[in-house]
Amino acid sequence: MVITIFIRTLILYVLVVLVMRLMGKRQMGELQPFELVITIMISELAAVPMQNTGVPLINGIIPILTLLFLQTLITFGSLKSDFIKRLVCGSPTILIAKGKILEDALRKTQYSLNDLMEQLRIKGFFNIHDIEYAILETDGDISVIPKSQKRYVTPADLGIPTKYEGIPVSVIVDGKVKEESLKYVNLTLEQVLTEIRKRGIDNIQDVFLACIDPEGNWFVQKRR
Amino acid sequence: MKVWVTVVCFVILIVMFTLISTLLILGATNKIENDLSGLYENVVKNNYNLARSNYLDIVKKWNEYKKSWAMLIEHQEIDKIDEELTKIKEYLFEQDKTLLLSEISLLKFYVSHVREMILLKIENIF
Repeated sequence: MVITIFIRTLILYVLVVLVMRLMGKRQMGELQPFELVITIMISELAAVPMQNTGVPLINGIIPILTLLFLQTLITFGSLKSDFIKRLVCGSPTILIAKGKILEDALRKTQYSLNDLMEQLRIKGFFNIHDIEYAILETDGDISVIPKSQKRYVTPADLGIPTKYEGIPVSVIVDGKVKEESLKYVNLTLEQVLTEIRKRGIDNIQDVFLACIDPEGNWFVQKRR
Repeated sequence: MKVWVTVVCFVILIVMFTLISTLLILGATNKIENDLSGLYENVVKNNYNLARSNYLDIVKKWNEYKKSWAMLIEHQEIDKIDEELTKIKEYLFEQDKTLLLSEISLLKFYVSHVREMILLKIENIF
């Protein structure tokens, strides 16, 4: 009995992880209403046959695969058609426009003034005076556009020229060379070895982290 | 393109699985029901030797079917059939006609219930 439950749990866990991966990265972050429904249903569907050995495993597998199928269809449909997207995800609602709170919009979205103020504070806006627009997105998050005088100063505002900034690339992680990263930064293994030898490390296996920024500056840390 | 391939593969998978499971269960339930009818008639005629032979045939077939059924239907249904077969065995040994007939009918009902549950019907959906 115990081993049966153990094996069932393993199978269903692998299946659910696989299904969540196939559903895409969006499923892991902010969820749209239909994605939230599917995620809740999948967890429930997997839990029942996992613990109840009287239920055939297929009774859990088929509904999970059906939900994956539906999610694929709905996502595809909402990418291709605005109508389907509006139908399943809804549309964003403007809660503050031109610095004025829209009471009708708050009522319609069942968003209380306290909820709105809380969300604005979370976003870093403590004074309603500072806000030009606030939009309630379809995933429940709020986007805030501050008044032009209250937004953060950018180099463009100050007329300061900036140079291109890329991202630092990790070349060696935990003693292992990342071949794809080497290709991306156009480096050979010899060049990397030369760099780590300059820092007194002879073997790649002894490197905990080695990364290079777009300006060619290296960060190398030896493994303990 | 990838989405349509997924859709087609999934539909094919579901149709194939439905067909295979339905055919498997329909075939098995029909055979068991026929054998149970034979068993019932022999008990009615007080022909207990033939009834015993019918019973052994049913048990032999059932032991083969229940392995595949376990993957398709709730195990509770299989347990009920196993329970009824055990009762029939004892009543057959005791030659208790009244109880035998009622248990055979009940077993027939359980088997037909499995068949009804696997079919695509409006009442099964709702």
